[in-house]
Amino acid sequence: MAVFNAKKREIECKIVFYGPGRSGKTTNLEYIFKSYKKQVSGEMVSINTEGDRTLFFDFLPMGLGKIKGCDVRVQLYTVPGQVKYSSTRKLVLRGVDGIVFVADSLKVRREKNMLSLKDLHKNLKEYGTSIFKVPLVIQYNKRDLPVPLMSIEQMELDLNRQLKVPSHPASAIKGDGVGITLKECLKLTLISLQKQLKWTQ
Amino acid sequence: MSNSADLSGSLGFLSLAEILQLLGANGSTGVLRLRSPYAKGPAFIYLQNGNPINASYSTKVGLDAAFAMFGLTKGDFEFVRQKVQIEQNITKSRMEIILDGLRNLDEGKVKKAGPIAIRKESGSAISNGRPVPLIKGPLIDYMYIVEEETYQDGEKIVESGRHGNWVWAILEGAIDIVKDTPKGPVTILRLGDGAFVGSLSSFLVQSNVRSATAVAVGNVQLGVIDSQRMAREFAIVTPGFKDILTSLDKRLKQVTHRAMEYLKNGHHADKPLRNAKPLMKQGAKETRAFKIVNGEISIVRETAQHRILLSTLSKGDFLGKVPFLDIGHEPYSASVFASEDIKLRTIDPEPLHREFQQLSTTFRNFIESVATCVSATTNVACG
Repeated sequence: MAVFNAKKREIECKIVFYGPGRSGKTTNLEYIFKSYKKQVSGEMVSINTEGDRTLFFDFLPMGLGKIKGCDVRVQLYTVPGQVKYSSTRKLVLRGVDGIVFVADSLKVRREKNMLSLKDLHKNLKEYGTSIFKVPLVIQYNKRDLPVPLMSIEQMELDLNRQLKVPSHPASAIKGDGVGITLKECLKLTLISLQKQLKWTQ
Repeated sequence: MSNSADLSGSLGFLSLAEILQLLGANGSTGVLRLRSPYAKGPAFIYLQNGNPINASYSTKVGLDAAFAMFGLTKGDFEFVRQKVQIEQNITKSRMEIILDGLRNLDEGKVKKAGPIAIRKESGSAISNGRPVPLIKGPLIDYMYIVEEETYQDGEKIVESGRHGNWVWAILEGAIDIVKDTPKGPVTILRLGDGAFVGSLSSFLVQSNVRSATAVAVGNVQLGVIDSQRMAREFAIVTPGFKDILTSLDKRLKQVTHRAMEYLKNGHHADKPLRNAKPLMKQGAKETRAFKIVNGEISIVRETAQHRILLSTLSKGDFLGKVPFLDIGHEPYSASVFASEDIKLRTIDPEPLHREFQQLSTTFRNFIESVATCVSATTNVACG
């Protein structure tokens, strides 16, 4: 549910980076913040939540053009995975327009990925939307690490067999694959918004 | 709620985090006030161009006050657009305050201010091998306390079958509500700080027979409630409202009886309901409330294995959703069956709700305490 701000003539939508703890959600966001600095408005808010940091900043993607004469402003969030952060999760996930699921490629994290995806499914349901409807992109992060990794095929099978959403390998710490993941998610989000609001360009 | 507010509503619908986002997106300048029956004092946040610049709540100011206000999840808010001439002592960005505030709430650093909490503590009483729910209430308004009394561990405050109209509020400590059965006493509930001892019938009938025994657990300090004052307040409520309270008291007594039977026998031997037609299905989205004009109603909790009869209601009783009573029965958590000759009248909940809002805090707390007892006792009865 994007918000239309008549005063600023902006359409504000929300993209959330979800995934198991330590999978690199924060690294993704930090990389975006650093390398697209010109498109970022305002400060990055970083909250130390247990296990993971919660990040937030405002982002004005360039090259998207205007929709009906309005700029598109994107709020980027990460969300703390731990069960107890229910109020934070509620605020972040309610009315979410697009999701990037950051999966961890380490072999030892296989189960964590699947649990987190299941958790996302449950949470979205709770806030009135469905994992099959919401614009979703999966990122297989940490491809650069010299430790035993799962193959992309295996991860596709684990996580994307039913969803069949776009997926990208990435190394967020180097910045590889971060931009394309975000772009893909933005694209899907805008298409979905246009459908929702019955806009045609 | 004053008429000059530019934006107002209920915190249950829109939380502080959401209000701040809304006002932020709008770039509003003015004062946001939160009002909650459980607030420790007036709560204000001052905004300049959508950003919080200062706040005050009870004795706190600035960021501390703003964070503490995230605990107010019930009540009203109102925002008044006006020039703000107050020194800026919050420099954190809006989103930072929101996310940090919610984190504090989630981590338990800021407590959610609420009416009455039901807690099953590990250290709490055990009755027939099962934990007894502990019920607590909000802060006591000392205006209504005429005298303080102290009871020693094991002392009886009231005894089942005796007459008496006094009502106490627990200032400190805990008491057990005990029912005597042929097999010996069973503990139904444990009441803690802020909960009330005594029933609504203390105000409803001249001479009230106590339906259960209350026993001190450890040393307990009780405040005797000013019954004159409560009775005066009670005397002026409308007959419709009085009927609701009478009926609520009836439910509590019936549910307590069921709970006692369950604790004594371990199971229910409910006969199937005869000649009963289903009226509301458990979990149905029913928002209306009714008064029974004729016939009989059975309130039934349906669990995986059993149907448990909670209460049998008749002429004059209410059923359905009454906005200020959270008793954990129909329509969400119980089904309703009616006799053949049933006749119902719809009640308009609005005037009742307004009347409830106009009652004193103590009276409201008392009613809420009874409603919570109904809900907790029902859970005991259903095992």
